[in-house]
Amino acid sequence: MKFDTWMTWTNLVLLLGWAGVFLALPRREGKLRLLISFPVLLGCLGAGLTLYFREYRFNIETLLFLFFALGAIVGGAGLVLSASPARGAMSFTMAVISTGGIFLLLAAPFVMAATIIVYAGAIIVTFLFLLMLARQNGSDLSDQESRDPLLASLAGFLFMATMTNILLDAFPGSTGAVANQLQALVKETIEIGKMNDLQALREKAGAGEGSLLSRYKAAFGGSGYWVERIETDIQKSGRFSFTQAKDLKEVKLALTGLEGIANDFLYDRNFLHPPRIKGHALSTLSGTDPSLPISEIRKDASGKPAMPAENSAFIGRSLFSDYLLSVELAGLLLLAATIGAILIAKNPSARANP
Amino acid sequence: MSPIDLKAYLVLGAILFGLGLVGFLTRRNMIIMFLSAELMLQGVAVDFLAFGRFRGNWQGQSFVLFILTVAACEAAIAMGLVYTLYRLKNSLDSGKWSDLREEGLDSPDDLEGAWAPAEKPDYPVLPLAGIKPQSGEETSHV
Repeated sequence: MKFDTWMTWTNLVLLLGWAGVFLALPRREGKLRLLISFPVLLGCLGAGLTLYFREYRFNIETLLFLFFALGAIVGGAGLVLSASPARGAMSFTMAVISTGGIFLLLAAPFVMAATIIVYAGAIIVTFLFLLMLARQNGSDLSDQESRDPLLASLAGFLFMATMTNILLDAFPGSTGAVANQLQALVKETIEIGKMNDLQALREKAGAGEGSLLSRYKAAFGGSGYWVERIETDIQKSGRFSFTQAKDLKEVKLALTGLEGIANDFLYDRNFLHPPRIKGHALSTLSGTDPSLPISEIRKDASGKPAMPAENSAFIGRSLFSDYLLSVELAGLLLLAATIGAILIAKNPSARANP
Repeated sequence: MSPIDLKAYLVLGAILFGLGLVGFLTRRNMIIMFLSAELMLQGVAVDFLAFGRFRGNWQGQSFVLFILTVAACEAAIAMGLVYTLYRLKNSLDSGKWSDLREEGLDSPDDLEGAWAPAEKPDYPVLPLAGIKPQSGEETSHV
């Protein structure tokens, strides 16, 4: 794993977040500690925002994502950090509604509705009811004193740091040296692709056999999935051969293919590389064949795989074909939970002497 | 500058999971612990949906529906359990329940007697309303 400036900044933001959460976790005394924690947490959010805007193009989708992600993170932090359980529960509601927005962005309106009904509707209301029932005389000592704040917050933020570092390493995205190199290469490829003379195109694209190809491979680090993909998709198929190409169309097709692979890398569309095997357990009702390369799936205007608008109808088809047994088991689980909850909630003294 | 990608959603899921983890480990209130666990589930749900969206299939959404079912069952059981535990010890503090700890270990109930809760301030008490005042002698005469 190589640390670039990007990852260093991300880790600094996480460090700031850890310091803020550690300082803000409820404890019996220390008003000053709480006062310090506010600017630290705000600084963490601000630095995170700066990183976000440097990484992503500014459009309505990124703006909505930012809005809902901030809502979810602030709501979650409110749940963890507020000494009053009722306030914590309301913060959790905010987090759930914000994740609902994220679900909408992920083209899952049915799951969004179900989540908001179950969490914000049922769970929060019953638990607020329980809180009000249990807490009649002011706040409790146990709410004002966190258990092992240093170690616990360290554990949580170490987990976050591990995950983000691995993710940033796996999906380098549009930043870093590799991306700059690739962007320059893509620009060059587009320029070359505009030529209409086969001979000039051959010379421009590479004096030797596929030098553009080797430069792409070098940009990808010489080995690994992406180089393999260039080899299988373009070299082995015999399309990218400047000297043997019969006509202009073939060469241009190969150039477009190369450009497509680079764009897949840059915009993270193809990181879910499926194993190239035939046959799988699920039917096509749960989506396209998993062994299909993502470049062959139909895309919508945003460049993501196209999903139909009839969301609940398609989830229903998936649930009642591929996941039928799981649906039945989920029903059984609900029944068992209902019986168990009634049994547990009975008066303990009545249970001892039936 | 790229359009929003899978990485953004996965990082958000990791952050929500990590916040839930911190909450579950530090807070003593059983209800807040339960809600923190639910926050972790939300983080996982974001990840599942993002994978499904960027692969263009329904498996992520189907899986999240099952997560939701299990969360609902969990909430029902937890509600009954928390209320029963509250009635037995008159507190929502999870540290009061340490009967299954290893022998020789100190009780995690380190708050016992550490700090007396502030006494209730003397709020003014309103007299009962609606009671007929004691009738003495007539104070006014015509």
